[in-house]
Amino acid sequence: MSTTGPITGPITGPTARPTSGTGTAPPVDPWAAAHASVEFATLRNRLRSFVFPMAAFFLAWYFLYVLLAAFAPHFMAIRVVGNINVGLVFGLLQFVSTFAIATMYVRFANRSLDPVSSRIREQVEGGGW
Amino acid sequence: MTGEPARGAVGDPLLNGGIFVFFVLVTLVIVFRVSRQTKTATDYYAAGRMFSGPQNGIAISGDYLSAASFLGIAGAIAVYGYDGFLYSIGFLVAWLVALLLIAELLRNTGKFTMGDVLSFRMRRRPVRAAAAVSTLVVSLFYLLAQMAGAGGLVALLLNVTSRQAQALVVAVVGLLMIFYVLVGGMRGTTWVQIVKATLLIIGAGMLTAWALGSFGLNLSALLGEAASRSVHGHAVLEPGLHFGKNITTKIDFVSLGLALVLGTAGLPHILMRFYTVPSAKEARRTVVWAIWLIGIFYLFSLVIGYAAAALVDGGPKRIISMPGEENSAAPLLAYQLGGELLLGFISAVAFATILAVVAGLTITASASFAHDVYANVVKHGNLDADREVLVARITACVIGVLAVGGGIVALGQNVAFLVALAFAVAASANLPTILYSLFWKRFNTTGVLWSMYGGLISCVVLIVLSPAVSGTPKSMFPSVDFAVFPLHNPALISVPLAFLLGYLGTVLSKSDQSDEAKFAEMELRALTGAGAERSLLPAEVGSSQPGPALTPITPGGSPPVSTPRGYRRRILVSTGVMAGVAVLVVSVSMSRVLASAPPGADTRPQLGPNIVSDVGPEVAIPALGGIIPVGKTPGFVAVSPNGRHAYIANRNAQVLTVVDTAINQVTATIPIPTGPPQFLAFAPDSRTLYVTIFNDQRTIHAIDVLDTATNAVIATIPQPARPYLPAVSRDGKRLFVPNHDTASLSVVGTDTNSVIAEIHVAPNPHGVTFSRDGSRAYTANHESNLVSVIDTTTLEVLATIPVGISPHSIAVHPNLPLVANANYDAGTVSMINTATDRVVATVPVGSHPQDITWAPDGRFAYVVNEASNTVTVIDARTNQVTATIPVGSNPTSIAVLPNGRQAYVSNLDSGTLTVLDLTG
Repeated sequence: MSTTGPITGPITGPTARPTSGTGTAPPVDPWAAAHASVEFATLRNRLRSFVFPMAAFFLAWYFLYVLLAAFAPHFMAIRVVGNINVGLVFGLLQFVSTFAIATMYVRFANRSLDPVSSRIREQVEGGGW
Repeated sequence: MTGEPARGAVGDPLLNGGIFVFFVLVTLVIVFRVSRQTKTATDYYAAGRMFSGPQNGIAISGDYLSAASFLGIAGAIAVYGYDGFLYSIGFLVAWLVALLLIAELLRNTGKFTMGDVLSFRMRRRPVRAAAAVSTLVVSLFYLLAQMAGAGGLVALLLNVTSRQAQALVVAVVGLLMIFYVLVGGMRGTTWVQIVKATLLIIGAGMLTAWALGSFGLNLSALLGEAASRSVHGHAVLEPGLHFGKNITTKIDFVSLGLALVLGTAGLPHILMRFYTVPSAKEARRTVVWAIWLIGIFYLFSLVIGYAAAALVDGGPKRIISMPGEENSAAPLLAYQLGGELLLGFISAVAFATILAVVAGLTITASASFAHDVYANVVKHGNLDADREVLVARITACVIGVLAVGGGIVALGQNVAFLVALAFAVAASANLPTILYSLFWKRFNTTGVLWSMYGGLISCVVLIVLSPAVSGTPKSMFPSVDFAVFPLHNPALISVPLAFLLGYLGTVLSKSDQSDEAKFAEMELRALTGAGAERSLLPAEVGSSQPGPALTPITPGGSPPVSTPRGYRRRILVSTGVMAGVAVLVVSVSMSRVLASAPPGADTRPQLGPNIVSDVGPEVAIPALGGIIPVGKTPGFVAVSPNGRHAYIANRNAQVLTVVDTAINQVTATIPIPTGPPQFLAFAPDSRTLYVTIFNDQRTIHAIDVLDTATNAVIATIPQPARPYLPAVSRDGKRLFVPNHDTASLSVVGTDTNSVIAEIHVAPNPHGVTFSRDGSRAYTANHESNLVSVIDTTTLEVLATIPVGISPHSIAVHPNLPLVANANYDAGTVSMINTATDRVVATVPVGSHPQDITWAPDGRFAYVVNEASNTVTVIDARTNQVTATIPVGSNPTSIAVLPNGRQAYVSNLDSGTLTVLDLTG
């Protein structure tokens, strides 16, 4: 359980810095300190305020489609163009929305999450807390 | 039984086998080469975390696009139409759950397995044990389904039909899988996945482009053609064919939708893939690549499925008739478009798919056992990594052997529900606990255990009590019925239950406080990646990472000495070579097909027995459905092509009786003053009925033409001799009448109702029937023991086929090149392969078989035995008699409704029709 236990052993990597808890300072839990920081609260709020509503939206959108397919087949059978009906358009829209949400999330994460999270990570790993 | 009917493989089994072997060799070389780097636990479980997001995205697509996805979805669309498409949407949208809620957080908090994340802030041993149980259950169910599927696939592609040979193939698949996993570890299996996914997507893309191209890139035209070739018409373009039957199937569909969308992000072999990349950001890229690849692939599947329905000779009926049933849609389309080479390529891809997926499952299951159960539960975490990998390798062997054994047992069983079950267990046991532990601070060990075991047990119990396991002909155990739970998929109950149990377990266990400090650490790690497991090769792919200050030292110490660049280049080259070979294969086959086959040429491969799900399905042992009194001397019964009425010729009574098939009662009696009516033949439009008439004194021989709209005789056509059982051509323009006493056929023009030609055949024709395409007619000639084959254009006899003694009745199979005739004095049925015009099987039936007919889906033949007073049922797949049903006295004929649900047997001496309930 090397991920959770205290870090022991030699440190690898060219940019190794002193880790927390190795000096004579009173032991501080770097995880708790970082977790309590304003920066982390911002990160968590940003993440949650994006992924929770988005997850609720795509699940609702998906189940709307599933329920329509199951209980409103006549609506789905209405032809739009040629042999292409509402059901096919609706189904293809699920593909479009999935691709779109994935793209939106990546742009959001790259712009709004990654800079904050890497700052926190560097501070934690560098013994900043 | 003297032989088997035409059955088995499409294309050239040798070629297919050659392409399989080629793929296996290439992947073996790759696995062997990358194996030199598999030294440590991180190498073995997580491929050194050195794959990039796009590479892992391709590999994860390879893991996910199992044979069920590739062959199953295209086939379901070909046969059930739109409802097949519904699966693919659930399979795709599910990735958003993985992207938004799971992938990055999991990558940041875990090491090798799902148990790492779940046990992070809980009491480790019970939680790891639960996670391992769930992982092993899901992986084993999935493995079993894949292995059993491999048997069916090789039956289709290599013409391996014997059980022993199929078992051998399953064993070979198992051995290869063990080799990939033992030698290559996660790195080897990942490369196998990458090669396979690349080939799969290229192959599917080519099929799609080719199919769309043959409709001028007009999707609407393709859909229209698919609809026009389906017995369901435009209903194949609309939801409801498969799931829309009743409220239970609709709720079942919603339940399946829930399992699909929540199950994917809980599949252990998918979760484990997120550990093969160096960072959360790469995990994100992995999912995005997977979403695009999988989404595009499912769009291809949509086109491939409808194109198979629109383009394959024989359409959906033929597809369902092959040994792999609907799984054969994509291979058949490949054969239709590109001939043997393209078929061989697509088949090899499908075979590769099974190999790669079973390897991925095996490594997941072995990792879960070695890492979660053995190292952390049994050894309390005091096990060095080398020993752990050794245990994992041994476990992989054990799992391989178990999967081979289980796969052989499951061969031929209906185990398709195991895949749905794996998704349902993943959605109920795994996903709720993962979400709770990542996002809910109070969640504790009790909650984990209640939720996981509750979800797992409720799923398995509900499945066991469902129609998937017992109570219907398609169940795993069709002969018993303990199906008290109506749904095939338990997710609608088990997923909410697992969420509820996780909540209740947590709030009701006051003593079991969650560790808040641990939660803080976990949340921080999850969101920032601080302290996360790094790549073994930071300079290679993790160069953007800051110095890995908290990186634990890899057990095993020294970093890999050799640069992986060389290997990677070689692997990329081999992938490229295989893709190149694929392109070559497709181009060559395209040119061959274009050069050799004129449009409309019959490139039909050998066919297998068939099953159509849209009629029937008939069962092996029909039930007696009742008796209808129809007046004296009913000698012959015919059902109208639209299925609404049965007309019965009552010989000595000189009447026709009409039975309404909806209520099974006589609704009319029509006098036939010309003479005793003997045989009946409907025109394809169901409106005109031809009634042959003769008496025992041979003084009367004629045909009456009856308008069934008014039930009035509108014409009488004189005949030169006693007219036996006639047939109307497929276009309705000609009536062929066997003249029993002059060894000839009269050809009657139905526009003028006069004889326009005469064809001499061997004596004495008893019955005539047309081939499906109308180009041939077949007569059963009583005295000469011959069947004559007639060209319906030139009216020449092309061949005579020796059959049993006294052939009386003859019937063309609905979609195979197969004609069956009943030999009255031999007491047998001859099965004739019309491709070779030879008898391929002789099946003993009852005494004096007088009449034979096929079920509309061709699954069974029904033979009326006049002297035994029985009906014999023959399974077309095996040529075995599956049932002998007692009917009335002196039965003379049988007619089956076009929907395959009921048959009517005329009992000459009883004055009745026996109704047989063919669907049990």
